[in-house]
Amino acid sequence: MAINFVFILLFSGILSFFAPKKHVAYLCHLLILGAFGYGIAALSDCFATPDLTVMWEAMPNFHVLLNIVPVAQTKVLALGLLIFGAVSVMYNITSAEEQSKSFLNGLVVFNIVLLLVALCSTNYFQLLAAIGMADVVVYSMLNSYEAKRQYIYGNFLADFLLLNIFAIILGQHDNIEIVDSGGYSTDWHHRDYIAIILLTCILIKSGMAFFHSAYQKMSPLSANRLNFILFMTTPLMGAVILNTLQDVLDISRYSLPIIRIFAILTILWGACGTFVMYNNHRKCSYMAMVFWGLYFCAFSWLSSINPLSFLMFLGMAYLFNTVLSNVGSSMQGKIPVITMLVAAIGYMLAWWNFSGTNIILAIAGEGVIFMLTAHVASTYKNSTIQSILPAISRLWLYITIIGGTSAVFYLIPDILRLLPHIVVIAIFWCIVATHNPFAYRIEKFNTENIQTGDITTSIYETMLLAPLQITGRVLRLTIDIVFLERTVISSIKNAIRFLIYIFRRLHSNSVLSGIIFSLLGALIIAFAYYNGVVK
Amino acid sequence: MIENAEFLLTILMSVPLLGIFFSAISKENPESAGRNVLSVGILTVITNLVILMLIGNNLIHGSASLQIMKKFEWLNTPKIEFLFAVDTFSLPLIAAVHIAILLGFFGVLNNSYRQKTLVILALVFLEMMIGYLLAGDLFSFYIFFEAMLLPLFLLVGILGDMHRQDILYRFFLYNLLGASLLFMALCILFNHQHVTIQTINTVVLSRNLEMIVWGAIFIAFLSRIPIWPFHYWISSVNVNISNPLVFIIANILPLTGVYGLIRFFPLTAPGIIAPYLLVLEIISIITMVVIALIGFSHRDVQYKIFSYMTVYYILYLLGALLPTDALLSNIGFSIFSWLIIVAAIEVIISHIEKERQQLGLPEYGILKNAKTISFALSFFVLAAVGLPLSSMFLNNMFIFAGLLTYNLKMAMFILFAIILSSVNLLQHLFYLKYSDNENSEKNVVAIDMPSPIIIVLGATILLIITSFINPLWYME
Repeated sequence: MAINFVFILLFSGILSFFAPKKHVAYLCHLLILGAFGYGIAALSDCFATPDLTVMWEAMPNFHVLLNIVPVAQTKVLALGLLIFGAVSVMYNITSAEEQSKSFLNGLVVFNIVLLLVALCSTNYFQLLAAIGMADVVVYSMLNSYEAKRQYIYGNFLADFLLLNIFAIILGQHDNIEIVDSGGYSTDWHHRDYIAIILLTCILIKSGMAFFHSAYQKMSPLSANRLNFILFMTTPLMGAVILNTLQDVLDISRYSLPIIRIFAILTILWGACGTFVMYNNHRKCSYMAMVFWGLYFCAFSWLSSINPLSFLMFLGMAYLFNTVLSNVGSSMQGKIPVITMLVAAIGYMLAWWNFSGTNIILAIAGEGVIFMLTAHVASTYKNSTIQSILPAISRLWLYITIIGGTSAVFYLIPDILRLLPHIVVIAIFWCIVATHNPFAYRIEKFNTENIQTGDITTSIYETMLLAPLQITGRVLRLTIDIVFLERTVISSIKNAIRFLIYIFRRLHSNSVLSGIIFSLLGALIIAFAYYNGVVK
Repeated sequence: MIENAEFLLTILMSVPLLGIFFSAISKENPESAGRNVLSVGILTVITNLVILMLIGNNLIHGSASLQIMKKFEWLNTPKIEFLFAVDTFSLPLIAAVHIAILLGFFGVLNNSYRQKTLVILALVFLEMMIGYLLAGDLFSFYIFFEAMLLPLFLLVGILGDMHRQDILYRFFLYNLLGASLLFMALCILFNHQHVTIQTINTVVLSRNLEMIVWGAIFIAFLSRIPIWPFHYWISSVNVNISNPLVFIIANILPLTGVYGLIRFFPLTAPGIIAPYLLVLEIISIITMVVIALIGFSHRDVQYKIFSYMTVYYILYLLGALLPTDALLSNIGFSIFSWLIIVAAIEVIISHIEKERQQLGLPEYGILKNAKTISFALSFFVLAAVGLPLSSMFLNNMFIFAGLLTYNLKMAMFILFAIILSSVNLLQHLFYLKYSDNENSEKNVVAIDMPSPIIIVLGATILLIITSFINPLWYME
């Protein structure tokens, strides 16, 4: 009997963590690739595989039904995720830059499984657990402390906000099924609050403008790691939340305008970053920002999202970034420009196919992608850096680019009609890439502040963290030290000291104290007599 | 299932007494460096954990009432009976206290100063905590409530750092208030009707007397929880203790206040004090926010942990005060992981501090070359802040759901305090982990951790993950 592919993926991932580095590492890589292959075959209906449904006794008083059964809408995405997972694993295996390949591959597998869990979730608990665990996986993937720090602050906050939204929904309706959210959304209280908090969570996850710092700090990561994180992990999880909880967002009239504003801001910010950055990896982060901005634009302006089109768009963006991050270390002379041209054509075609129903959006997006890809290619046309990338790595890079672009050509239905346009665009692209008027102007942006500065973190630190710290210090001084220590406890201490002094004086060997002490005794006796006998 | 499982309760309470006895007679010399007595302590706690598993195996899942009961008659006139019982709420708490103290024992593995005293007093405290959490009658409840202060008082006196006189003064002052009030209230209740904790809500008193009794009980329990102005003595104790075992014990103490309130007011607070609950809630939330803000500005990690614990203790208190008993098991299972996680964090932090002082390393970036410690601390901090690694994750969601349903505005402040206190922990984690080039050169010497502690922390991580996957794994 066939075993569910998720189990095999998990098993291969776990094995990869504990495998000794030198001896069986290659076996583990093969096992992981085999597991992905098995998953792809299972989802392509090559053979029957059992559904995965588990009763999770997550709490003493509540059981959750974990459901990892891709249905018609999610099946294409699930299949795409497995393909991208396998491609990423191959990038890691062939990379010379990557030191801990087995560990990273294990994390890639876990991340893909958690994305599948989130994608297939039918209840809030499953979704929340998958999102939270995926954050832990990505946190483990990061090997730069500053990136880890920024990432976990942001995503902890996002997860916490999400948990609170679900807590409100659970509290109000005692129902955790996502499918019911559309039906009862009309009765909800705190609608704007829920929608805006949910949007904040999504914006943080997808690294939109003002929430993108964590992704900019990832530039010290290796190229494969960086690109996988930028496209296949938390930002994609943000997109999954956006799609899955669309009904919840729709309960507020502010949701759509906010998404649009942030999407445009993100594209602008990302485009500016891509134009001025010198560091390849930072450039990649900004390119990813543009991609997610475009996706959010499409989400808010298109009537529906086609999963296959989205997959193509995601895949080509990922491939373009992979080329971009490897340029300089792997290619010389005209090769970077040609490789980029192929990837860029694929990228632009994928966007056209994705956003084609809204012509204005499609043209605007094409313009942005055209300018950015041509601009980044122009900066490498004179690259003279010697190749340090192994031949196998380069070979795999070319295979994926050609394969990805061919797949886009194959899957777009009216590609023949578009061919003349593609040729014209390719010619223009080459002209811009070789005679880019902006290429020489960006030198004035080569300053420490622009290249390595982080304005959003500075804003948060100045506007949010510093006031909180000052408030904390003031409160400590006033409440703990001045009020409790110096006033209350000091007063009690002094009062006790005073009482001790009085009683010492009463017990001293003097006539006056004897008289006072006797009078006090008499008073107590009289009080007791009055209360006990007379009254 | 074991028939007549009551005897397990007797064994549970007897094992620490035996442990105290054997610790007292264990031979210590400079060569053993306190290892003998520590081994007795560890064995005692592990034995009790096995018994707790057996008890858990005999509990009926889902039943809220007291299940396994053991009664001892002491006096006929006045009639005093000791009643000990366990339910699905108290069992995880007892287990968590045991594991926290076990972690504390491993935390003092290399301690050579007054090891025997430390272990004996820790076991006395454990005995008192077991008695308190099992108590089903007012008499034993009061005795254990007060008696557990004695070992802590001595521990702070013997092992406290600077300003220990001042701390003991505050300790005495605040606890005297609570003890006197509870004593007075229980005397009145005991005189009027011979009640148990379960029937305490049925007592009929005059209006004034009712006000006095319930008010006194309320304040007595609150004096143990770090709610303003009672937070001050607890924060003083926390900040001035570097011994991990004493720190853990001191931080278990507020649990007695929360537990007491839950036991005395199982569903709703008595009518006479119900109007004051809103005042208490407001004070609690203000305390949460204030303590979280102070923790945010404080450099001392002990205060940060105290701030984190305070915020969560108050969260559990507010959850318990909601007019529903549906959240009790969620609170119990959340506290289970939470207490263990905090104990583990404290053990690791105190170990790092000790190593730092011995090797003369800077604190900033000290974990850069210590991968095992860094991993363990990261895991526990991530679990503590609420990521899906422990039973805190989903159980807290239920508690939040309850709070958000009843009062969204108040709950917003609670959430703010929780986020801030969690950020406090994350801040310190990265302070220890993060290192620029300049500091990494200074931290070439990697700090190490003894293998037994690593094994225990590894087992704790597995336990915490198990509590996330299936918190009822030990039940049939």
